Amino acid sequence: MTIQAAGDKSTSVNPIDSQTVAAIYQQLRAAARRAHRANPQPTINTTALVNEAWLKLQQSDQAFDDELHYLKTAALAMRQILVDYARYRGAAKRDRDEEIELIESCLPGLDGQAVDDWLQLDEALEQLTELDPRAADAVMLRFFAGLSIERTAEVLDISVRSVTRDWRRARAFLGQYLDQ
Amino acid sequence: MSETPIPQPEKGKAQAWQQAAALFDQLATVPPEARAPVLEKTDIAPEVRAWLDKLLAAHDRDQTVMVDRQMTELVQQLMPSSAIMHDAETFYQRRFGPWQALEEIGRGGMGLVLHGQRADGQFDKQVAIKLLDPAVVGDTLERQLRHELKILASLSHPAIAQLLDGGMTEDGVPYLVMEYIDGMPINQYCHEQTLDQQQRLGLFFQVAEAVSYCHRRLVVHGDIKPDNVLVDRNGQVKLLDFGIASRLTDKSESESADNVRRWCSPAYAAPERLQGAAPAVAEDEYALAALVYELLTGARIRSAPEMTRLIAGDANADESVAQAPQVSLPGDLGAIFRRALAPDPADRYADVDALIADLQRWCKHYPVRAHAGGAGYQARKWLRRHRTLAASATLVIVALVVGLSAALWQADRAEQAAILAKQNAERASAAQVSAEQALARADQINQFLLDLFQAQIPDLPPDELPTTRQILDAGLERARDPVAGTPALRAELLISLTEILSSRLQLDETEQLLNEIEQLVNLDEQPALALRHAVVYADLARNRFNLDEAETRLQHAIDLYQEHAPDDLMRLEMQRDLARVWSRREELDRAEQALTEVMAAAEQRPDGAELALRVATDLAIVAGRDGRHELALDHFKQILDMKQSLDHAPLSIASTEVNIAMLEKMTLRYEDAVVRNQGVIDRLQPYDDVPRGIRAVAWTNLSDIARMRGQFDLAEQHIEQALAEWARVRNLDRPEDDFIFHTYRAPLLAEQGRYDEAAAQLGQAIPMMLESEEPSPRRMGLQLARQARYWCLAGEIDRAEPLLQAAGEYQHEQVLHQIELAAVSCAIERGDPDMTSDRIPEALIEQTMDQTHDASQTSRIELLRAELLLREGQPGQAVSSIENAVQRLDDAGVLTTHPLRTTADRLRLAAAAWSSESPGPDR
Repeated sequence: MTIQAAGDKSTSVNPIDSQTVAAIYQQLRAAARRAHRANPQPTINTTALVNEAWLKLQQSDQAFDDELHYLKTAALAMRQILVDYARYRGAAKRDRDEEIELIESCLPGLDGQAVDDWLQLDEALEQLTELDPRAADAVMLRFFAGLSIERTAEVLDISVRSVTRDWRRARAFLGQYLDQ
Repeated sequence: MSETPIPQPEKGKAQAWQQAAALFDQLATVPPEARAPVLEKTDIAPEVRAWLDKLLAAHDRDQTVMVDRQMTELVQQLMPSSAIMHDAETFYQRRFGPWQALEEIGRGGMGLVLHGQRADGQFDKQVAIKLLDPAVVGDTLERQLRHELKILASLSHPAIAQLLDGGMTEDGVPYLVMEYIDGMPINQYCHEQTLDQQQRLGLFFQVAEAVSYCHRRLVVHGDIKPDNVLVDRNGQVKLLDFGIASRLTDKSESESADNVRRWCSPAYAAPERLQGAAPAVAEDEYALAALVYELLTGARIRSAPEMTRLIAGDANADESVAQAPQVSLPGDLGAIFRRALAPDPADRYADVDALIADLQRWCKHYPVRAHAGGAGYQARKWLRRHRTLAASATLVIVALVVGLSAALWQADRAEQAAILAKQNAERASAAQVSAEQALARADQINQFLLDLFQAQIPDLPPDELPTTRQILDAGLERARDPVAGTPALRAELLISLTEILSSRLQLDETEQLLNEIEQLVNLDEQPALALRHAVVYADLARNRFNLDEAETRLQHAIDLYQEHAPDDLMRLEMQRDLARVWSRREELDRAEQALTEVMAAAEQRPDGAELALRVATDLAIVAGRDGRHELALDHFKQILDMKQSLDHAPLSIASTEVNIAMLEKMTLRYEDAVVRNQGVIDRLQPYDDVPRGIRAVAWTNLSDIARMRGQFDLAEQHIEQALAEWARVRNLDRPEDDFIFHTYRAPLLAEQGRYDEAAAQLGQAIPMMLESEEPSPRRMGLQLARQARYWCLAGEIDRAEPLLQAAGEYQHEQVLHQIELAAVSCAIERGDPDMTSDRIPEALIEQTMDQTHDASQTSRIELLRAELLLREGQPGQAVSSIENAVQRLDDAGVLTTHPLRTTADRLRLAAAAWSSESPGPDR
């Protein structure tokens, strides 16, 4: 995979439009389904899913020349999938007849507590995005797109030290938020 | 998905965070006790300090935050599958339907087995509850699971542990409840009881006959091994887990060899199975041979190191699996095993019965068939035939889906009859001939289905599955080919394919096929076929909204059922459909009566509960259409309770709620209706990526209410949401391709005084309505009259005249009322000298309220009357009309900014001025 320079580190990437998120969302779900078929043990390997969706999208007409843009969008889509899924589980635990195709096959049984956790995490991240976009980026890329600290630094084009600091701050924020 | 802009935090908060964040970065790595100097030196604002303290406290707590974990691990830990295997205790004492779990009695690759008993203690029935690992079962839907369980529960044989019950727990764990067998594995039993060869073979024959019984019922075991073959104290053999491996495991993709080996027993499994093939008859036969080999020789067909390699997934293992096992038995018995354990399924015995027969011949020292020349050919021939019967569970499901189950069951009964007939040596009996014919036909149907899947679809890469359409086309081509079989057989194939096409709404093709079938056979002589034909024909007419034809077709289908299958639930379904046709044609009394009858009949039947609920909904809809809104509301509220208590799906519940909301709107309970509609939209939120008519209706309702209350911008917004959803539901590129787009826009425009635009909208809608479906006379007439009124209000009286005439063709109370309103508007616009307040009597106003349920529209008419009264010099009466109208607006919660309020104020002032100038005649 080629790594594109992300440009000026202070300005964020192109704005993420909803169509892009939707496209990646679809790809991620497709990747999740494929992963599930290849290995019915239901696990999500985020990094693999994100990478696979990236490869697919590169073959398609969708222009994702900017890898950072892609990764941020993918992380957002992944977050969306999990939150949708958690909501769906919470709303309709027993409703398998009218089942819609979420990544059910990969995440068969979040229990009630876990549902709340995901939704709370979503809320917390939203606040963090307002207060501290860089710290939020670190979480999105590391947690939802499955990047290592080093890779995160690479795609954001900032130092590992900065990512470490951002990450520490984000953790503290989420820790105090989720603990409330 | 719409992009939500990130709200900007207040400046102060953002600044406080920034300062706190900077301090945190600086202090986080400093030990807590060393931070004080920095904190003391710096002047920190209280809100910054608050952030900082919280962050540092969270940091120092050294707890695991959700994001610390790998998402993989996070998700895995929440898995119920791990819960099943690791926390068996959590299932103790839990209820599974009427059964209560006790302690664990076993576990295997597929799940966990618990001892259980009746929870109510009513009788002393012991059961085994098997919990299947969801990872093995895959994402089977509960409905599908129940379908499978039904098939397995129908297996009833003394040597098979009876499946009693099953389903899925609330947390998605599939479970089976079966007869509890207090026994030991067959190999252990033979050893402990030191049975001789004849006794061992006797037990084995019991097992093999049970397997043969199931094969005749199209169920493959898939995991035959000693642990699944128990012998109880009475020496009775019991096979466990029939069909679980073959039917309940994940078949979303062909299984990888690794996955099969994970829970298949390598000491008994056939080579093709270990290489990932789906369970099939030939594999069961192989496993049975491996089992009896062990019983007779004490040795397994594969050596221990070989099995270790298999389990470990050694690459070399595949090669050794593909080789014939070393059979260390001499003579005929050796020949039997060499044949039964042949690596190529085509070289094995034709079926389990043939294996049994040869072993019995050996017992009696007859020459065995294993040596017989040409057997390979015969076996191959058989296999080609029987692969179809039970080759893979998927195929059987297809057979059931396309409605061939009846044929297969008949064939099964016929086959037993044929065997009996043979045994009795009544060779020439007519019964046998017809039984054999039925069997042959079922075989042909199966062969046909199998061929469909194996058919070479041109241009399809070999690793891609054909689409439904491609399979159907291949099927049609073959079914039409006279070489495929007798006309009766081809007609049966065609009707099955037609049912699929009909359900996919391929209406023209459906009709063409129905005609073909009629020409192919004389339906009078084929009642079973005629019933299916009639049902599809009725559906076709209904799907085309061809109500007259649907009525005739339905009546015909009902008559046929009456004659040939009066007790079939389908007869009631057809009667319900007929009543719905009447309801659609506004023949409400007739519809209500018929529905009431269906309801009574459905309630009498054990299988009628779902139908009764649907009919209850139909009855509520009829009451609603008939203007009995309070009754309809009561009906729907009861239905909602029923659905909630039956734990219906959210979508089903939402559909009832949306009906209730609609009725609440009509009975002017706007507040309730708004809350309920919002509730529906929230309930559907998790299904956001699926278009739903219900959601569109909820938005439409909200828009109506907003319009009536004078919240025009909000109404516009909701209409947009509704129309976008309708377009999604109907798969339209543009919302304006649907007449609903125009019929909903028109009143909103009219309400804002944009009458010419409103009329133009309806001008677009009406031809579309005529085209898209057979419109109800009421709807057509209403829209024509409305359009006429809008034109008059826009001052284009000439355009209104022909519309009023056209509307007059539709004789319906509501239409006549709309025509009258239009006529009034036109007369006023024309300056008609006859136009007096008498043209708008109180009765017309009340009627407007009853029929439109629209407070603002009714007030508009009422204010018109007031205006006329004023003109006629009757301010007293005018004032009472004005106040009535205002009261109506108030009751409905219409906004103070609504234009009608301004009109009312203007009229009030005029009336006051009038009365103060000259005392009116009515004073």
